[in-house]
Amino acid sequence: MGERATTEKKGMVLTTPERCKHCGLCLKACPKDAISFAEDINQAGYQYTVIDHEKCIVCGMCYVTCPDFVYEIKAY
Amino acid sequence: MAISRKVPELIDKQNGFCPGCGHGIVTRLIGECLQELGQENNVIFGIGVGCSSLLGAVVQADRLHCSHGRVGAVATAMKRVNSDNLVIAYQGDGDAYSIGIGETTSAAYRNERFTAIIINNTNYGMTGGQMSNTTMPGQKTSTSIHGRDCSVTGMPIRFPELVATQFNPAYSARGSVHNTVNITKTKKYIKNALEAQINKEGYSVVEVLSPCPTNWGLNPVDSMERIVGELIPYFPLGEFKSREAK
Amino acid sequence: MSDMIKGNEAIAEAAIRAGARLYAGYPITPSTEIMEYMSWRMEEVGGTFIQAESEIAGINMIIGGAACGVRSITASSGPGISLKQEGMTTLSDEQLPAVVVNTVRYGNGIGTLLSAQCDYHRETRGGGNGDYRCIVLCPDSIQEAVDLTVLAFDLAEKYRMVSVLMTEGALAQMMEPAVMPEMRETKRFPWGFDGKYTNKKIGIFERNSLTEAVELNEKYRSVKENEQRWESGYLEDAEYVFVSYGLPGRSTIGAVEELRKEGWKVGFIRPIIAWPFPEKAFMEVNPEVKGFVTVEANATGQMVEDVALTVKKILEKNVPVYCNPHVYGVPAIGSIKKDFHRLVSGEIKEVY
Repeated sequence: MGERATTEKKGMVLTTPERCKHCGLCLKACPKDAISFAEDINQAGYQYTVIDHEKCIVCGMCYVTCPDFVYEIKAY
Repeated sequence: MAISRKVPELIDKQNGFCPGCGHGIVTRLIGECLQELGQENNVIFGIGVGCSSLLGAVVQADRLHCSHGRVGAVATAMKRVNSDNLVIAYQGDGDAYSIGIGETTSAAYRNERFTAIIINNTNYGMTGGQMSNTTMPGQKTSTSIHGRDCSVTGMPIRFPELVATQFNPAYSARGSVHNTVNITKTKKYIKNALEAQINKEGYSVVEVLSPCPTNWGLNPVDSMERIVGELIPYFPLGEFKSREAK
Repeated sequence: MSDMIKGNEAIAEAAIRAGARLYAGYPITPSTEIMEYMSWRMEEVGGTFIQAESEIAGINMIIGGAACGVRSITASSGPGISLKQEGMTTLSDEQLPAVVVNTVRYGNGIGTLLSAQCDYHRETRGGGNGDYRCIVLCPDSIQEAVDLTVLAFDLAEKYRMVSVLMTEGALAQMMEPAVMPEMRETKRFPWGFDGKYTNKKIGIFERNSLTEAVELNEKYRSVKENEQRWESGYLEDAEYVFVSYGLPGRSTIGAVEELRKEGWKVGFIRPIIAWPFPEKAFMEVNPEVKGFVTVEANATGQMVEDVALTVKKILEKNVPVYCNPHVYGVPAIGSIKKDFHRLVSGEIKEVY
């Protein structure tokens, strides 16, 4: 296990929470368990996803699997 | 090593598909392929009736909502008169294989030079989950409450295979969106299909296995499992007719 | 002296001259020659001919072509036009122009191969769902069919509606001399798809049916005001006015001429466009008219209803309206006159 070094971030995952429909596919797809559901709900009434940027490795799998155009991957 | 990824402007709007539906994923793949091929300003969609209709509220391109099942005929004419535009027929399994089986098959038979993208979720989604021509044996739907009896209603239809083996298309494939690996493969199939059209090679079709959590009565993650466990054994993935080597 | 030409071929060539560059359809007697002619002629002018696998596919191909701004035409009869009804309401909804030729044959269901006028209700009211109308043109000669084919396209595009050239099977099959118009330059219409999304669309869930209803009514009001066309004669002193269209209209005019020579005060109105119905023609009728009689080739009398409604609207008196349904074919002048005498003697009662 080793401590995760605070290396320079390769990028950042941005979300548009109002589009999220709580389908959960990205939680399953994320290799680092970096995605979870907020306590809060969006205007449509869904608990939307939030990224733990410490765990996130900016692999983009959330973007690939999301059916609702929630994610944007910004590479640095 | 990170790659920037942003949903193409062509489809960058909130969509109305159900949570966990595969339509949204395919919509994005189509947008990405058009962007990568430089064709966003050169495309006309023929949209089917059903869940596929919801594409019309997302895509910002020339598009026509066709009468139920008739996209095959509408796309035929659009491509014949606008042969330099990309014409994409976007339908579900109900629109393409039940009410539209005549037009869908005839267009493939004539090798019309458009691309058909058919989302197969083994039921009529929009109207509440009735049996379709791709409903699996024993599958419970609102019109087969004890499970589909294929001895009376027929076995699920395998259209890409039919086209590849009985007609002379440019390209025929089936993909799935149940995990990221297959989403990426499906994107490649869609791109191959569109390239076949750009090169005027003939008819191209990509069927995509998609979850329907709402009518399958499963959550989105379990719906993807159903595709793996129940659908793929019957509906194999891959290219049934590859593009001719040039 | 122009050459003799078959009705169907004249209509097809007239469409080509008018700039039609897409034909998609299916064969059905008595319209088939239109399709056969187009199968080789379209290519000669750089147009597109598609032999559709069905009538339904055919009208949907027309929708595709019209959506791309191409002048498009199809032809059929009876049950074939029945199959096209969804396509026609769809064209109307999308405000796409097209010309549909109906060479009418008699009967319900699969019907017969006899020439008739039994589709009047269907073409003027529309057999598809919803609140739409089509412009319905009814030639009485092959020359008029040629002229109305061109007009059909022009009106369809002016108002963005479907034009139906409703003619009889007999006209489609017979031969007469006709002069063709000059070949027009073809063009794509500005509402056509070009792949670039030049014309933005309202999303399917964002349509406002209330405002669309206002626009629809205004469109049809304008058509009714501007596009009535008819031929009429002897209306000022007429005691009885015959109303008849197409080839039966021609016979009827012949009957009127003979009856006039025999001293009867009869007149005629021959609708050239059936929708919008030529209400203005009725304004010229003798206020002391005693009755109207339609001569139609169907069983139950269809146009008689439009005449009755128009008479109620335009004239101030309650004038009886009679109907002479000849079932099928083109009634002979003699039989029209014979029925007229039976009407005058009281043997045939009014319908309205």
